[in-house]
Amino acid sequence: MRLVKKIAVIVGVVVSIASYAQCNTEPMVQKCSGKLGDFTFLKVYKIDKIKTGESVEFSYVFSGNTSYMLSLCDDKGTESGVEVTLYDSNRKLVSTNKLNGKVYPAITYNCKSTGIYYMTYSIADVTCGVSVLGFKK
Amino acid sequence: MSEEILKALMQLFAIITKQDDGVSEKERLFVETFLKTQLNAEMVTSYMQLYESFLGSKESEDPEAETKKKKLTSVKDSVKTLSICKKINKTLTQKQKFIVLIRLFELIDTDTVAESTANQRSEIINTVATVFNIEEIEFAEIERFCRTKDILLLKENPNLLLVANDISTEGILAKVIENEIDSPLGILHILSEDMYFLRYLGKTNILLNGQPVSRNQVSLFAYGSTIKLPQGEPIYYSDVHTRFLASLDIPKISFEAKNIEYKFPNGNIGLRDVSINEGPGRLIAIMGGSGAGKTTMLNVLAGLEKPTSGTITINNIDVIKDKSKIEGVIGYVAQDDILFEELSVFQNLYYNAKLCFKNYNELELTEAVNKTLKSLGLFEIREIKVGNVLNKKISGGQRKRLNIALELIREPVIMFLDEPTSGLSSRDSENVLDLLKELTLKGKLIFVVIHQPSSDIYKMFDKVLILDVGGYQIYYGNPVEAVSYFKRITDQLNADEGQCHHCGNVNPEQIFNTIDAKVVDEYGNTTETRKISPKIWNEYFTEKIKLDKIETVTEAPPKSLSLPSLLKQFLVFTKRDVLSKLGNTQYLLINLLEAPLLAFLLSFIIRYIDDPKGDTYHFGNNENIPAYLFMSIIVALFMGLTVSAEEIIRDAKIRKRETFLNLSKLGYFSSKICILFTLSAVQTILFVLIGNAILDIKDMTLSYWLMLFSLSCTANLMGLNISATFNSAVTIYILIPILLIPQMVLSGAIFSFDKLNKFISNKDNVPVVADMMASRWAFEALAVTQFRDNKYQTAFYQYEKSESLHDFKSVYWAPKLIAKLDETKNLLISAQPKDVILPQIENCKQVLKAEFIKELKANPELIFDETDLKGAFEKFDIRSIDYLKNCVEIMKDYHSAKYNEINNQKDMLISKFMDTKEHVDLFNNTKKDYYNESLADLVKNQKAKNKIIEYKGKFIQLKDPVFLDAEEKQNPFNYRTHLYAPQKYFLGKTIDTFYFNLCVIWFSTFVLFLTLYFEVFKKGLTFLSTIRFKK
Amino acid sequence: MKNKYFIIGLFSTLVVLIFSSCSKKQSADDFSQIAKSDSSGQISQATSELAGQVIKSIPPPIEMQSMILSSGATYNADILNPSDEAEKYSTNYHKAINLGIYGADLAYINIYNHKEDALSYLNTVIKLSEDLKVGQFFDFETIKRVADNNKNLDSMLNITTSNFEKMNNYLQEQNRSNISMYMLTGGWVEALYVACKVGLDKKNQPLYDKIAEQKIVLDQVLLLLSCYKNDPNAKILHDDLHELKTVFDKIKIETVYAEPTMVEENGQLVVKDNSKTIIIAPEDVIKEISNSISATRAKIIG
Repeated sequence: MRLVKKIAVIVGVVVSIASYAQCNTEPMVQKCSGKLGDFTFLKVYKIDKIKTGESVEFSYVFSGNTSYMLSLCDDKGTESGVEVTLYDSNRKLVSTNKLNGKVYPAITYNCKSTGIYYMTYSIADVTCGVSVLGFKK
Repeated sequence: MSEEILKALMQLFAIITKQDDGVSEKERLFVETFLKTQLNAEMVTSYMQLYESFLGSKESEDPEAETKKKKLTSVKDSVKTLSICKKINKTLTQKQKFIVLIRLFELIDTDTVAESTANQRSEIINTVATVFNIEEIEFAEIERFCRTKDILLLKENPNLLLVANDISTEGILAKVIENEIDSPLGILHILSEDMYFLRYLGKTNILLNGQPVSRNQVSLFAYGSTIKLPQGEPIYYSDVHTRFLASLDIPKISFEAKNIEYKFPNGNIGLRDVSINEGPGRLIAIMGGSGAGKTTMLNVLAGLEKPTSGTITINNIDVIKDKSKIEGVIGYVAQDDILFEELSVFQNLYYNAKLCFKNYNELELTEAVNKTLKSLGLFEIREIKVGNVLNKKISGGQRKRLNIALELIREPVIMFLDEPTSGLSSRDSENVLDLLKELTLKGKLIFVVIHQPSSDIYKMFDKVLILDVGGYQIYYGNPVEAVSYFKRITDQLNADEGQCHHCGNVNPEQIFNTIDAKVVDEYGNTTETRKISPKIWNEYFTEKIKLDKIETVTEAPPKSLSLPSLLKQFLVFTKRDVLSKLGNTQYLLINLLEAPLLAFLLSFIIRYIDDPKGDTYHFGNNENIPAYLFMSIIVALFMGLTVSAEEIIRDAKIRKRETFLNLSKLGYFSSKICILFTLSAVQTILFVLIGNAILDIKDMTLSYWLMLFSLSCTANLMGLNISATFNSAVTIYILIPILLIPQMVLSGAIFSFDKLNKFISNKDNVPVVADMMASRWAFEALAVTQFRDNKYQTAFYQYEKSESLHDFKSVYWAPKLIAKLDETKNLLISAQPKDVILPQIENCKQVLKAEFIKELKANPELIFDETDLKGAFEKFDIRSIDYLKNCVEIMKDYHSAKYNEINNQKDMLISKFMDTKEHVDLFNNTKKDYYNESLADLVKNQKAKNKIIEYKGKFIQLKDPVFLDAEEKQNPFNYRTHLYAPQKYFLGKTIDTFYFNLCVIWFSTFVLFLTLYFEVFKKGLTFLSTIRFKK
Repeated sequence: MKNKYFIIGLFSTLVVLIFSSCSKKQSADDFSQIAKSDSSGQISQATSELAGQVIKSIPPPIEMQSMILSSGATYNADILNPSDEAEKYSTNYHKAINLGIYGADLAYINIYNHKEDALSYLNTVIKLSEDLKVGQFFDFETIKRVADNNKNLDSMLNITTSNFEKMNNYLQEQNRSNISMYMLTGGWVEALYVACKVGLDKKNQPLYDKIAEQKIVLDQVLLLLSCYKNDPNAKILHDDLHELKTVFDKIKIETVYAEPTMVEENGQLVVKDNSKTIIIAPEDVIKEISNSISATRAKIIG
């Protein structure tokens, strides 16, 4: 019952929050999964519930001797709506997809060092996006 | 005269005439003359020799020895007399004894003897009379009658009838028939044996049955005898007899049929202008060739058929119009056999009697029954079962007599019998007719259709009514006269002789030969054409024969029927039926063993072990359970139908009679229903106990039994309805599959209701056609109850129901709403012409609005701003759509949260069982033993592809129907909802499915009872057939 | 009348049967009593931000499984959790964690392209998913179609993995992250277990290394489990896996750092990792790991 009351209270708040547009991530996931090519699907990261300029962080344990691909898609269909920055377990920058002014739709990372890596995502001029992680030996 | 009587007479004559100085010539002459009138020449001689031998060789005795011997002989003779008489007692009937006595009187009258001899003779005769058990008073009467020289001297004797001309009625106690006769003719009535003796001392030539009556004779005046006077009117037996009847306690009845005409339904004329007048105490024969209309006549007179014109009145009461007033007055014995095969002779009559005599106690009933049985010679076989025509336990004649006994026992004042002697031996026929005659002597009026009677029987009738082909009345009068009548018309020889002189036989065949005589052609061959057509005979009849006038009685006729109360009738019907069924071993075996056998077969075959590794059977894993439910229903229906299908048709003839007696229809049907319901109860309980035991269905016995029993009762009534509607057993059995198959198809078990022809099915409710099938209600109730109310599910049902509801809303319903909103959005921004778009948008709006309203009503915890909502629906632009989408998201989250909450509670409940291994096992085993997976899949509609659809402007939930309550409808009588709903909504209340369905089934049973009672289907069928054949 | 005896006999049998059917209520009553008794548990709390983060970092089983094929091991169904045991899982915890285990088993089967087993495990997966009300993510028809189609081995794997992924995402969105957590944990435990078994059997060094790397993942798992302190099941798991951690502590993983280089290849951005990881994973430690995880797993699958 407590949970329900919480919901009822949140109603008013959510109405305003809901002005954040709903994001249908399904088609983006399909598209990004297709972009993986011969990489095997691993995970989906949804980048929604943030505005332009804000960022969200995820993490993953990458294994050595494995190649990973992070493909990026946004709801507007541009190849540059999502930006990602990759950090290693010590928070050292590994890479970003925005390089030399060019925003790449995917990063391929040939990992040699096992550990937990952090990915920071942000969006630019789009409502939301997804990132699909795949791997290849 | 039989040999026995003659021998006895010879002996007695010898003794008597031996007195005095032996036999005189007059006496010997008397004996010889007497013998001559009875026998042919040869026999006369031999009997005379016998007589002589009895006389003994007494002539050559010396006088002294003679006197001694006289004394001795008198003693010896007395002893001899005694012994002869005793022997005679054993061999002769009482009637015959009277005849012997009278002959003895005749003998002693031939000669005048000395006083002493006369005294001796008197003594001997007295002895004879005593040994013969003849009452003194009667003896005295007889003696006077035989010996008197003037009949008028006996006029004070009330047992005497005088046929005389012009007598003064002074001091007369005797009956008188006025007639042209020179000297009075006396007829003495022997009360004890109901015999008449005739004496005539006049000089004219009186004929008795064609034979002249001599002065010295006292003649026996038997049934059917006729006295022909040279100048006066003939005197018939019945005339005499009715005079004597008048003094007894006879019922006052008058029966009048005036100008009866009867047309068959197909237009043919059955009776043309028939008229009858009769009073009490008559035995009337109705005769005629084949197709003359005898049975029709009987039916019309009895009131079974309504005449097209004319009236039939009993004591001035119209038989058709005022039927109720003559209830119990008429008795009708049809040709059909209406016995209960399985009951004994006694029982058949006993139960019949119980229905007729309200006020008799057990002893009285038994007495009455035994008396009737004795009178019909059925007493010895009273304990024997009647059997059927193919498997006779009693002979055909006995069957016939028993059928008559059924009506005879209550001795109705007016009786109609249709060929009571057909198939009987001549002896049996005579017995039956004797019995009927006795009844008429008590005052009953009896009509008998008879075919080819023997001469003796023919003569017993007081009147005969002859019909010719086409229902023409061609004769109505004295039987013996009939012969003369027809002969006269055709100018035959010996017209005046109705019966044969020597043998006294009347040949009724002669009559029909005369009637039916065919034309002979020029070659001497008979053709098919009749000499005289029925119409002409009828014309002769109307011309020559006038109807007797009788006194119309205006008092109410006596009733011999007192119907017991409805309850008593019900009890009698029931007891009779139960005994009948108990007596039929085959019936019992089949019907009682059918259920357990089928149960065993069914459940044994489908009990299988799901786990390939294990060898323990678990109810929960038996995938055949849903099919078992279905099969149980079919078995219950089938058993109910077959048990009842033949019930009424078997009793058809008996029913006809019982309707005639005005026995209660309600009582009969109620008793049938009671018995069938009891049988159904036993069958279904046996089925459930065995089937459920083998398949390890626990704890549900009562529910299963209740449902299957109710179903079986409905089937019983269906069976009774078709049994009452159709005429042949074959038709009924052909109908059974026609009734069962729709039940199977529309039960919901084999074919899913949403996958039927579009004219029948719809997506939201069970089709109306299926609602008419009892099987659908039973199957749903059993499935839901078995799923929900078992020990395991009782603990979890509420949780699962809640979970299902919320999960459905968040996983299926909300996304569908969103999709609909998106669709609307697309329509709003679409470039298509307005007139195409607007109706679609409107449609979307209606659907969405309906769903919102329903949702908010069902979930009062969801609170939205009403004005905002209303506004959104009114404006219905893109912003509104977005707003509504947000609302849906909120609802979705709400339901998710709710789901989580309930799910957690359920999980905690399950965790209670996870603490010890015992509890884990208890949990798992309980689930396996009580919760059937396949059934769960069925009632949760697991296999369905679509979980939600849009239909008729709303969203229909197809998933988990067993967790979905029925919706409230606007019309309180609208009970309709989806299949497997756990509750129904009716008359403003929610009612549990099991009880609601049970009530529906009983309601349909009740409706079928009404159609049975009011014979709706039978009338409908008759109506249909009359339409077709109208020309 | 002999029929009367028959009737009497029938009635007495009837009465006996009716009475006997009424007296069988013993064990069921115990059941009802327990069901009605007061519960002592608590509702799982809502997740924290941290849990939401950590849960996404746990790799699906497929990474480990993919190495098994290259080790040269043959398909061995006996090491998997038998698919017909699914009936005995009653609570959400058991259903979810074993769903994870079956998911890992399914991936294993898909790798070897064993169609018959694939179907039966798929059935089990679907059944458990439906029980957990996440059955909508497995469209049986599509999967069957794909399974029948021999060529698309990879797409079979992809479909399975992505379905599980969707499931997990959905559970997290629905505030049922605890279920997701169990699933992921189960999947990981099974993948580790299978890798140990196969690795030790084939004495495959790359597998040993892979196993050793799970030390890092284990930390994440333990972190995740600790977010659910109030959940008794999570606590037990945590304790069990903590034991495993003590074994893993004997494994040394050292990284030598070097800056990564980025290159554009065919329009794609490729980042080369120049660091090096040195893993010291002696066989006996692997054996210990194997034993520990086997024990934990045995408790889970019951």
